Amino acid sequence: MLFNSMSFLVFFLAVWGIYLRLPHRKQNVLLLLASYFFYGCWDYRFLGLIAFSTILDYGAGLRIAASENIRVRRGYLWISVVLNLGILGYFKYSNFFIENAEVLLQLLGITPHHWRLDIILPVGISFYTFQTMSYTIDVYRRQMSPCRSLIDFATYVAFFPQLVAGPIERASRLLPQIQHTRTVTWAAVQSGFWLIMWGLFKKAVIADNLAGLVDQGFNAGHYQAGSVLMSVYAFAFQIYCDFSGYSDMARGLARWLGIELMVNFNNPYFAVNPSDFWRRWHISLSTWLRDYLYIPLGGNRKGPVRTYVNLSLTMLLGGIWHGAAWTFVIWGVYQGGLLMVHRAWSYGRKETSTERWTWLRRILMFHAVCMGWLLFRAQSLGQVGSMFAAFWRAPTWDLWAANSALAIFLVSWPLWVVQYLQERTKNLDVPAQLSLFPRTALYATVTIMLLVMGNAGGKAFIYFQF
Amino acid sequence: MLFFLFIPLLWRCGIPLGRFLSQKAPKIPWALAVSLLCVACVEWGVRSPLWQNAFWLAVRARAGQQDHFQRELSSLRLDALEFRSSDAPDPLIVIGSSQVLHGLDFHMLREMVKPRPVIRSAMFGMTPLKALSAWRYLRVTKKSKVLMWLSAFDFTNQQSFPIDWLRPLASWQGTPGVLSCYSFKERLQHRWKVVDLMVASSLELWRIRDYFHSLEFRFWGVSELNNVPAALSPQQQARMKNEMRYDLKLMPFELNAFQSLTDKMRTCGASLVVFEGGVNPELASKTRLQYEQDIRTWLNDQAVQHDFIFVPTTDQDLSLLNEDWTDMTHLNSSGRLKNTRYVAAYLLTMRSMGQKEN
Repeated sequence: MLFNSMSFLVFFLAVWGIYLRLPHRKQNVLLLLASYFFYGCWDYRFLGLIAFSTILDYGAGLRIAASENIRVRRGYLWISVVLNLGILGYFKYSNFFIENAEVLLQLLGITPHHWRLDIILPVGISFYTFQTMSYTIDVYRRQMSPCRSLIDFATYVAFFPQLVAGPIERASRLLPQIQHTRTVTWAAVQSGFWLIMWGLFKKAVIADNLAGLVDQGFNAGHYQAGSVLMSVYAFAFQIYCDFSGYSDMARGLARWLGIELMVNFNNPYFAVNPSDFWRRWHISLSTWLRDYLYIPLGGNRKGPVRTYVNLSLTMLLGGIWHGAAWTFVIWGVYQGGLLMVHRAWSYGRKETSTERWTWLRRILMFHAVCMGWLLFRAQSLGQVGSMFAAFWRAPTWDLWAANSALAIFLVSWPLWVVQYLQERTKNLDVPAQLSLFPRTALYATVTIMLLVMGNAGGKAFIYFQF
Repeated sequence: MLFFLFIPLLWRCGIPLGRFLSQKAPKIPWALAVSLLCVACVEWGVRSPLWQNAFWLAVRARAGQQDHFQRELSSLRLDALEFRSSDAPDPLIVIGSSQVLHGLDFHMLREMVKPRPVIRSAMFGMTPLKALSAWRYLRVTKKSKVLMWLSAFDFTNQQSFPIDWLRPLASWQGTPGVLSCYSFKERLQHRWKVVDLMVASSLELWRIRDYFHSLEFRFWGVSELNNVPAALSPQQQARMKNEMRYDLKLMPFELNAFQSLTDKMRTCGASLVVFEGGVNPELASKTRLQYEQDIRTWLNDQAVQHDFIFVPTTDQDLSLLNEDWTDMTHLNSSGRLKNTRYVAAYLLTMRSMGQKEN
């Protein structure tokens, strides 16, 4: 059941209608049932998996909190982490490791038996695994007290608006909202409605329309510079709008339920450097990696060399988190490399603040990110090579590139306008705070574009596969 | 819609942003109401003949090699605009599927049946159900004579609820009829397509959406990359179509649609002539012949009950050979010539008989 489908609309309105009439405890039961139903619609066989993860971390949290013995506490933490990562590794990375082991054996002159595990990747497993792990680690660190109610905890793990594609909510943020009485205000419904519409616009108008261009461009076979450039630009907007559109809708839906989810994207293509980009892109993952990996590894406290090692390790794991393929690994290494180069470059330098330089840096950073998207989207390293080679082998601008340039502009111009406003006012809620004329123009534009340009097919979100 | 493009320009021109930020709480209901009014204005705008003409001309110009439906659809919509204000007297309206488009030389037919105007309203894949859906654009009037081609396989739809076909031609003149042809179970199973069809019947913005995409992505012309190759080879597609044509599951809905269509024509006073479309003799099989015979008998009964003329292949003096066919179901140029001559002669005979009767 996709957010951008009619089935979800009916499901959500039914749940919401009942939800508003229930007292707090029953609301949580309803949310849990609705979340399990929502997840079961993808594949009911994996409900057991999410229930197992929930019980595992619920139990681990209680045991860790109850014990004063550091070895016992650490033991339970390890059990939780190993089992969570074991499940994630089995479902997501088994075949990747088998494939690579096979290649390695062939290089050593051994011909292995060709076999693969018949595994279906459970939707959103990376998201809820990281979410439950953060809870156990926080309890271990004594940063929060354990949750005593299994229903509340299960609702936190399976909360349907953000279950399959994030944001990866910390227990310290989301659990208290689930545990305490919630009020659904008219203002929250209004702003939630805008977020849902805006998210839907990003998904159905921008991401889904550009998906066709991206497929055509990347599968072209013979590449020309213009079409490669447009394919990569299109993918940059597709992946951003697909993922941030989902996050916006998740936040909007949660607001209708009286719950505030974290902001997952803050105009990432306005970033002026790699560090800035990672403070704006998939914030819930980058902060997770920072808090549970980068800082425990030593962060920047152990000298420049260790800082670089920590940065590259963190980004490498960030890349692998996205999927089991070498292109993701290389994308992670590339992002780590960008961060290292930036850190080395900015060491001892003052931040320039003139507007002109800011725009230049934004443009440069956007292109550096696009280079990464080429690695991310390509199906093989050979394809990456062919696409790069087009820039000196066939530096031409063809009809397809011209069509695509216009199409990218036509579908995405409201995004640029809104983000420019948000960036200029440093206020993500600025569309809802505009006065009547521009707000009306914005709402009308979004509605008309949804009607005329919106993809009604209800394509799945890219990040579901992660 | 271009008006909205000026908004960023206004901001960029230095109008202080603070003036636009309201100090009070957001008045979203007002904004929503006014924006809905704007949507209604745009809807009214896209219904205007000026816009429609420019739009469908642009769509037709951007149809790729394989986009037969897009080309035919834009022609149909443009013709509908042209005939809207000055309906031709006594027109001959030709409806049917690609069999008609391949099987009739319309230029030659127009010359042969002068002065009677011939309106080509046939479309690729037009079965009775789809013709019913496109009723508004067929422009059938009291004095029209409607020529319809029907083959046995036209009663076996290619897919259930072909929404991509129905959407751009949806209207409240056709949609209720289409929905009533389907069983309740079928409507329930395709409930979102029913909703889609109803929205399309109400909003031109929704009807044109698929073709707006074609403008959006092919603005400067059709490039090679835009012509995405079909996932199946032509041979595979042909085989699949032929297999589906033997699937009789959806036949009752098409039969219902044909009855509704004849009722509609009778109600508005138009006369109907149904020609049975043939197939390449190579395609003849025992099952097929039996199935064709069943449909022929049914159409004969209908012709008596609903007062229209049915011309079965057995009565058509065409003598088509294997060499007259491009493939299993479509005529080539020599077949087209024979068929057009036959139809023109048939119509002229009918006209002279009518004059004698008068």
